[in-house]
Amino acid sequence: MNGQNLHRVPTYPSALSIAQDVKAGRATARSVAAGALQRIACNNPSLNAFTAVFADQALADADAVDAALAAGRPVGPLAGVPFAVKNLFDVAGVVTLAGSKIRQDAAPASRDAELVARLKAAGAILLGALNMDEFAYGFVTENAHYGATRTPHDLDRIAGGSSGGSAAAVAAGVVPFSLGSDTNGSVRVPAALCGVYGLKPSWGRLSLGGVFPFVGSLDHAGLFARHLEDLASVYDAVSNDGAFPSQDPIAGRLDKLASRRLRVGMLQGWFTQGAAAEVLEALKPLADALDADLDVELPGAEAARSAAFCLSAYEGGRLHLDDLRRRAEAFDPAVRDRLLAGALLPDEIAAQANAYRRIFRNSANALFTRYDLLVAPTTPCVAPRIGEPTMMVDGEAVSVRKNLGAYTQPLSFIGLPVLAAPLNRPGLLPIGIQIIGDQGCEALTFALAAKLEHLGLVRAHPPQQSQDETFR
Amino acid sequence: MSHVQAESFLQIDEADLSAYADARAAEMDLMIAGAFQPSVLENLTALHIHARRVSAALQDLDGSRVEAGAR
Repeated sequence: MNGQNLHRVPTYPSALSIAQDVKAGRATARSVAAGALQRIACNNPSLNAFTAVFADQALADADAVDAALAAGRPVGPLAGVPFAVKNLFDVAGVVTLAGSKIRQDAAPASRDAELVARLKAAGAILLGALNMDEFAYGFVTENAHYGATRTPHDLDRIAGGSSGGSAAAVAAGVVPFSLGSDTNGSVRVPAALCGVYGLKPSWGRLSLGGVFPFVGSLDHAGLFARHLEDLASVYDAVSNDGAFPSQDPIAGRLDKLASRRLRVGMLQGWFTQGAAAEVLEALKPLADALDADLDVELPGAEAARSAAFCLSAYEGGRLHLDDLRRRAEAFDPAVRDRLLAGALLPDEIAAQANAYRRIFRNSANALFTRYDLLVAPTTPCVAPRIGEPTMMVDGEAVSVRKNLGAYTQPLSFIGLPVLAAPLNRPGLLPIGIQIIGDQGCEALTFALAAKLEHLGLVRAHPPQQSQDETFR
Repeated sequence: MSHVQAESFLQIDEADLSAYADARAAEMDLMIAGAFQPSVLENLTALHIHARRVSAALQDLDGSRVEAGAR
């Protein structure tokens, strides 16, 4: 440990119970927001999850919820629930940093990102903006400008990335849910390393309006929560299912969904190659409990990962070409050198990657005729230590920054919905699984997560140093 | 170096990627000399490997189609 500890704070309930208490008059939205702001003040020096805190605005928004309730006006399903967002989401009046120093001089956003606006309309209270890898390019959240974000489960270890602040803030019990984004695994990897639930829905399912881009055809907005029901409730509040809020909510039918009979395949091959023995061992109880098929292969996954890798570098390089020319020294060096290399790729490499996407999509389609859902580990290992540049995969030292998402990249490449769930490992470093559905089948991913929770196989646990104090 | 094609990039030997990077950077008006260069080259080498893997997968598929057609 690095000598730092998470501060002991009062018990921290779920988003749904907060909203129920606020609506029933058992708590005010102001008292809830003030408590959450206190938790940020206590815990952020250890976590380094927040890059901005909007205390005055949050308290004013909370007062507005309390006033609406006092006047008998309707409030939303998330009334008084605090949340925070990765700092690539626009927040009206705030500069959208996207983890960079370069954008510190940009004009403040003129309006909230669509998802932020929807959450506020649902009554949720925005508390702050969260740390990330610069321009979302990385899996570590070791940001040269804003520092490393730490997993609350071991403050010497990374939270993962690129939405590291979003995962750490939820895992530490500072906020019950948060927003992030996932281009190659940036929701799923930090969810795994911080031991919380994460959702990367189907591509296009959540609005990217007002979200700083990385790779247009791969970018997804995503969510983090410590409770599965909270994840479902927030998803219901913001998803694009043709209606807003959702006309087919998931949150109220998790128990029913959990009772569904599901055909499950456990992905092997690429998705277990190089995995640490501890990860493979932790997955074993799942297959037995689910009567799942073992040795299921998703052909072409390695090449799909490579195609996503090339496409990200190429599009990222093109997106930032002007700044790379004019002020390359202002980038995080680790990100800059990846973007520069990407900028050197010929256009045809991107065309080749896109051509492969169609082929790999067909490969996945074939599997989904046999299975409702696929399951794979999220990362090859537990959270690496901060500053550790390499990790061992198949006996070879490979870059942590580039390879933590090896199992996540093929799936976002074809836009599949993936629910990241924490294996039930109290007192141990978190290990996560990906529950993978066919396009548009988010409800099924929730169904399997609920079933696994009922079986006691997945669950988010409090960080040990704050157990029984932060979480309840 | 203008109008670099995927084929030409893929056919470059790893040992020649440094020369490719210099020429391509000049064409793109990018500065990658000095301290940047080793890390950029390392990243470009990784991309070269990944791009070749995708190319090989596409070629394998073409081969399978031809074979299937012949049958």
